[in-house]
Amino acid sequence: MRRSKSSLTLGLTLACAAVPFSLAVRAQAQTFTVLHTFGGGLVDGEYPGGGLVEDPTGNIFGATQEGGAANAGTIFKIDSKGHESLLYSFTGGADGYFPTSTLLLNTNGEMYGVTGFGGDLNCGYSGCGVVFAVDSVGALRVLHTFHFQDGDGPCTFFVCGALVEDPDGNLYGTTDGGGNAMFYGTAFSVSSAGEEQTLYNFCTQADCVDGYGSGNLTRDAAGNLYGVAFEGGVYGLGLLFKIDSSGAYSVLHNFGEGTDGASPWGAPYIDAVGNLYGTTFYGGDLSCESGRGCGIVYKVGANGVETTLHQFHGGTDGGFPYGGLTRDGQGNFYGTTSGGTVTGDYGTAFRLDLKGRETVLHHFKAATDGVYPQAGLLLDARGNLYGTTSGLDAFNYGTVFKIAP
Amino acid sequence: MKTSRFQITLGLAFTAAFTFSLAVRAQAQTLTTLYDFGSERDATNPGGLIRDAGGNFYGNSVYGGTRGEGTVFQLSPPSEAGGNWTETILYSFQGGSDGAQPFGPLSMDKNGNLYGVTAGGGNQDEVCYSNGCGTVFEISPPADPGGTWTERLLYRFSSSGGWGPAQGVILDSRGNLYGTTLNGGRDGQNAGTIFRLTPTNGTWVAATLYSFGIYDKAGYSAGPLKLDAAGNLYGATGTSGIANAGGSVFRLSPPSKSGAQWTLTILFTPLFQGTSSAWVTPPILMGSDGAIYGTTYYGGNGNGIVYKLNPPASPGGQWEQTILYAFPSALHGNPNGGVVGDPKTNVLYGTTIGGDGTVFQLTPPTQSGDQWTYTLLHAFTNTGDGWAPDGVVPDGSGNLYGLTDWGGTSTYGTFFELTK
Repeated sequence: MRRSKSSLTLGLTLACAAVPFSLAVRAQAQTFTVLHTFGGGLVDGEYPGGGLVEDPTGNIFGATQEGGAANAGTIFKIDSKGHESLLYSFTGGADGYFPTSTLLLNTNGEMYGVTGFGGDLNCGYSGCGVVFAVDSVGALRVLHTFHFQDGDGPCTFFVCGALVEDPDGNLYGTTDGGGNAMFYGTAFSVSSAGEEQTLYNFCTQADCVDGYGSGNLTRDAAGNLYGVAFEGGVYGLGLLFKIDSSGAYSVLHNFGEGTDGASPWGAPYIDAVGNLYGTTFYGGDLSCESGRGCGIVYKVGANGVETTLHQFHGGTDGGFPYGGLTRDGQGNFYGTTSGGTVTGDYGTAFRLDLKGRETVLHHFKAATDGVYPQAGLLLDARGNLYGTTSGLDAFNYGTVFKIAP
Repeated sequence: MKTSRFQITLGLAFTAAFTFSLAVRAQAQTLTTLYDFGSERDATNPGGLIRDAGGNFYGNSVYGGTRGEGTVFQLSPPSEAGGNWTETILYSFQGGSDGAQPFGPLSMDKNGNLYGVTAGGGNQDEVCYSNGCGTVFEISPPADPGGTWTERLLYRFSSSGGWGPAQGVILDSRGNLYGTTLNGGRDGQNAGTIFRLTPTNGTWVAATLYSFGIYDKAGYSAGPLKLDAAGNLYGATGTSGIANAGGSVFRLSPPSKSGAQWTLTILFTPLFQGTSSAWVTPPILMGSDGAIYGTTYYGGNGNGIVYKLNPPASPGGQWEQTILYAFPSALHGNPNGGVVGDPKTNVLYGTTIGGDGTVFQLTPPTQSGDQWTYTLLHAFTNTGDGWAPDGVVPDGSGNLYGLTDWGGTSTYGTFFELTK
């Protein structure tokens, strides 16, 4: 197995340095509100698939993996007054079943997403999923139907961030299965006319050093795509990859060495100079979760150097983030953790400042406010944060929440 | 430890000599990393840099030190030209009932005592979450050179008043300390306070001078304070619960009669500019021309501005805002630390945090009404030069000194010099 010189050096640096130990601080004045609690059944969604998107008039849109008329998932809308309605109920047939990503809103008001199943019902057990477009009044069209060789089950490991779009209207995303390596998934593009192209087949290199399992992509202005793999890589604990504008695949960082982060899922955030920021599900503080670690926030610089910006400790500060990060102009990052190591810890919404100080904006604790947020947060122009909790049968089918500044 | 003859805070000393008459052409500057933070038990993620008259610098670090709860450190120049700078940890916070996570600018009094705040530690009050309600501390120099500096907690905040101090304290000529908190205050608001600590018979008595409200026009989330000769306090808030409002620049005036209320006057409220927290918590600069200078994270082209607030022509009139510079792109945008003025060159300096961050210079126009000239002095790339700079301090000879939050050989920040 190859070892990356850069990550070896980095691991030593991290191991020797005094890693900041921090307890989270409490937010000031923030107001947490549950905008909607999913009721499930035929008339409402169940289990949000991904996060939220906001249109210019303040309507919020998202998807649920189940619920709705055919219990095959829904697209929902919450208007600026907080009223929720279903925009579309999937039938589970050719239109897909089990939508699993945050929606992408384009300037025409059309939204794009993926389903993990449905579409070609002869593919896999219950379909290999679709890429769909839905407009603001709920008219849905399928842009692409996956048939396994071109990918299977986008975002079925965990919920995903949104597809990304280039100026020509091409969409980019990932699948968790299928492709020519049989099981390990693909990175794909779909044109506005529905022409699909496989950009990369994961785990086509020996020992899966090229990774697999990815929660969608990030695109820079030059047309390069960036993503993370949850598994595979040099240490088997995931990696950060780049597919450049010519289609060449390269690994930018292998996670999992020493106290480095491990098992990233959410697509990285990219800044104006090409630094990549994100979360890992495991890794970091190895006294947490029986040596697996409770996750970190990382930066991989444009120069390839990785820095641990924050370690989660699995207590009141949360642990096990899946989702990607959102950033404000003050340099603060926002995200969610999906849980903790203590019974009754159902995750957090957090802010991380540039010194690595974490502020817990909300600590999910009970049936009334939701459990286990998995997706990243939406930050609107007024500083409001919006997010979803994934839900658990015993409590509810998930919630949509707002945190006002 | 040498006793400094410096009066009050460094920031005020610089601004006292601040005038606008000369324009100086920008010159190429060279960045040198003087110290790398973050080796074993060292300070990590440093900030709050100040300079004494002897050329020593002081700062605090959110993390690091013997307990990982943060430090106050000194950076001393080499005894011979070309030598290394020396970092000394003056105090490692212990957490718990001691302070934890010092944050914001330090202040120094005429005897060389350092004052600051910790965001955590102190009273472990349930309301203040797991991290304590925060403290105000003093670090005193040793009687003999080479001795140990002494920490004293002057005040432990509790949730019955303001708590969670924001960014340092300032001193007045009578030894009172003033600062802001982010939490506590008015019932049900948790929007923070402006507080004063008065030395009284060997202890410090706290008073809440003002309590912010979420839906007040003055906004909340106040940053560091400045003081004028008449005893008025000035500062800025970063956000507001009112739709289309983004905080304010305010003045808090002492009462004419002892025991009466302090009066808050809003000097300026920005138009909401389509992005959150349009206004600011970074420190403001009080110019000797009577104007207030500062930065916003957003506004302008969405990437932040450097602004000037001209005082009203007649008492009680409106303050007038001028945008000195609007950052054109996110690449070198999002100023994060206000501006500082060089008393000799009349130039403004500041830092941004877009990308890996920059140090910039704004040179005043030679003729009134002309544009200010922006010059990029350094764009950080985390190739030994660190990233995420946290403001700069001019030495009065045209050199700038600053800290980065991250980067350097040990990952956890750098101390840098920009020379002509």
